Amino acid sequence: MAEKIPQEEKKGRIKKNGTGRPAQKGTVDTLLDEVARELSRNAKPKGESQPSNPAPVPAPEISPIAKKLETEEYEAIEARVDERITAEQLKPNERELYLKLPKEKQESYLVHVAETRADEKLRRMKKVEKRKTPRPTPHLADVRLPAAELPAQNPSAEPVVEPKKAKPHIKPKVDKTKPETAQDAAKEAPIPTLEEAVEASERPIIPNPGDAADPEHVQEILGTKEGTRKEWQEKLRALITGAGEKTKETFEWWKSAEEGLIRRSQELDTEAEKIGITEKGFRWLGETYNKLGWKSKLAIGIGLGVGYGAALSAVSLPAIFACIGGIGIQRAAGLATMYLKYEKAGPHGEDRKERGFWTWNWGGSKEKALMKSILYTTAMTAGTVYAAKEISDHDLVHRTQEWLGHMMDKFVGNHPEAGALATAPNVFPHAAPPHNASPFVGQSLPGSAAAAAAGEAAVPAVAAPELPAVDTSAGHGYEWMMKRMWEQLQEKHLDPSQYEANSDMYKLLTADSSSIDKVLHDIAKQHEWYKPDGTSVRIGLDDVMMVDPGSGDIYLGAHTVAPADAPVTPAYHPGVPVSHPETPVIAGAESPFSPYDVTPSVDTSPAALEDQAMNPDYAVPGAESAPAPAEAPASSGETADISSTSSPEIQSLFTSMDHVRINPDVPAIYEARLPNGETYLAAFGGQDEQRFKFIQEYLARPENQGKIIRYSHLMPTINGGVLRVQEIGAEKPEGGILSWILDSFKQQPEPPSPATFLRKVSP
Amino acid sequence: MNDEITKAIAADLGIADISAKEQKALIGQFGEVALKAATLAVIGKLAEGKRDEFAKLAEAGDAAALKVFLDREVPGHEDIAKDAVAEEVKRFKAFQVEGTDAGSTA
Repeated sequence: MAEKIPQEEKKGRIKKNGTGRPAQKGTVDTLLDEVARELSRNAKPKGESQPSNPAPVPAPEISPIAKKLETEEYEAIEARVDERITAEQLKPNERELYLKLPKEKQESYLVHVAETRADEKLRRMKKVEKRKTPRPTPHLADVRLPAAELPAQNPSAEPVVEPKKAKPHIKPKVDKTKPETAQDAAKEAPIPTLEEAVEASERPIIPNPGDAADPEHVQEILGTKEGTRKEWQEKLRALITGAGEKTKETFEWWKSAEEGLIRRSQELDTEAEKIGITEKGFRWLGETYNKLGWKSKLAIGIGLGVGYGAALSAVSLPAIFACIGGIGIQRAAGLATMYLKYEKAGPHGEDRKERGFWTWNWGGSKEKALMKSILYTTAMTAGTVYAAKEISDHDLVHRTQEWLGHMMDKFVGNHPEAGALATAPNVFPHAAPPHNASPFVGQSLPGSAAAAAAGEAAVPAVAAPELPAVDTSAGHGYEWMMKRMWEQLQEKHLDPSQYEANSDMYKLLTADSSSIDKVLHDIAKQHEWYKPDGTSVRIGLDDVMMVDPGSGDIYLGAHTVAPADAPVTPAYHPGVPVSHPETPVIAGAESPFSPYDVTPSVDTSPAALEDQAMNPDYAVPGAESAPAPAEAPASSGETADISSTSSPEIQSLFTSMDHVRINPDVPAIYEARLPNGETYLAAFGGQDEQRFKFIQEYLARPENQGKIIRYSHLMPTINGGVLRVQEIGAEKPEGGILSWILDSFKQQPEPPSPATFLRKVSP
Repeated sequence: MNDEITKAIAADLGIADISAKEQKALIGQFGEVALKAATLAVIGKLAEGKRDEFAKLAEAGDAAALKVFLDREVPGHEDIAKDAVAEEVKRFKAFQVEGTDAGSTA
């Protein structure tokens, strides 16, 4: 491979100089040569044929630059110069003559006057040069430096001629800002000769006058009247070197960078061969990549984590190869489980239940899960051109970065110490999945090890005690949850002295089986979850009860004290029937996907009944009115899956056409009907992950290619858990996977409602 | 249309100051290098007998199957690939600095 002709040479991408190295900014000498040639071209006199003008500068051609100047700028300059000459520099007799001439002759006359004065000036300059100028240095000999001392010797003839506008017949301009005496002197002095103008134009000796340093800077350096020729040369050298550096930085370094990348690519080819990867295999990779369009390359760049910064990047080769292979989003549906997979793995790969919610939450796995899922989904979906468009159209990169930055700042940046993390209030109140953790205990998911490894590598360990956490479950209340927490604490053998004496944690740890119920009830009252009027605060199904290890207080969701405006269950008054409101307290609670338990938080557990028996003053709110769970699914236990709630209403639903019972605990695909009569396929039933997997398997079947499935699941966000309704399928790259991000900016479709299911279409 | 993505990648690569055309050339070239580096890093962890299987899955573009395969055969392959890409970014940036320095002293 080393003997191959370098790719860059074949492509002609890299210009090389005679040394075989890429053309870098040349040395000063090289630059000076170039400058001399360029300025010589610029200096070609217009009236070349006039014998009276001994052209000292051999410039046989007009350079493109000079031509451009001539067409674009010369006329304007000339007009101004003519005007000034006419007004200020012609001697009275000359002006009189000028005005008498026909208009077509006036210009010629001006030229004549200018050339005459230039000749005079040149002769005078040569005399001065011969008398004072030392021999030029070898490096600068060819540059034909202007007579550096000239301005000092003849300040009155100092022509302010802009270097770029140098013309053979250019007339010297008089700077009106000069003192009156200087103007007078200028009037007295002969008009600069052509050579004088040419020499003036040579002053900014830089590689490309148009691209070089600021002309004012050039004038500042070269226009000064002081300094010896040596000093001038040094200044000029510095100027040229500076100009070279500037030009290099802005125009040429990237060429070398591209060359470096090409060489690096070849090095990787060589490395691949060394470890035994066939050239064919690696060549396929490079060739395939090179055939991709720009959008796909951009998508791959994003998929490789470039553009997100190292801290937030995640790289998925499978996703990239999906991009390269151009497969549809449908075949990538398997990665939709990535989010849940990460979500369920703690920072060290264990189930969150094993380390407690605290570690789960503050340890960063939740954030990591989100980030990783976003990046995975971005990478996956970016595999199609359409998705790349979607990303850019939605300003996805920027918004994602902004959002992730917000998250990182919130969870990491503002809490540099583990202690601070531990004592910070729960700003991510609904971070925990809505599900009871128990169904996932022991589940082994493909890739969980990798996810765990990724999480471990990316998430700093947080020294947090392993504290219990209890998820909400239907039909159970605050005190029931606390009791489960207390039961967990019995197995952990924590030291109560580590907590404040008035903290919830201390009270739980010091309670025994005989006192715990009273303790729990007191805590419930203290935290206002149980109200003095007998009502209880209604508990959201996605809330998790946990302990702040810093304060030792119990939190339910985001609150340790119940919000004052939280909905409540009816007060319990023994012997008085309690009627349930027809409409749920929480808006949208009639939806089977409501994040709130629409049933009163009635504790009918044996523990609660025992509570009541043991504590006559403790009234179990709503106990009498608690509806008996009808046909409770055996497999659901106490879980409360939000998106497939096991409410009795749904349990009793059947599809309207084939009359199949809708089982909320088993994933299935149904045909559903919209109010406008259109139908769609809806995934319903089971836990989120089960449902994802079911969708994946369903879509993977040949007969289901191209179908689109609508589903809902609960997605934790920075604002808490929200129910997301998404679609996934070959023709819906903007939905499905990417919708974790894009749905924030789009209107969601209606969630699948079992009441609208026509028939079951999956086995 | 893809300006945002281009800007993000260019910023990450430290080439935000050059023209869009030049950015495009470098990003495209860098993508190839990063892809090769990430692939090489992951394949390097694979047992020789498994490399053909990887190649088949990769060429088929079967992301799900490839994911399962890598999860099983190369635990932590995401981080391996990520590190490889990060290394290439670092190398690329170093090259820029080196090239500029070299040029400025010429």
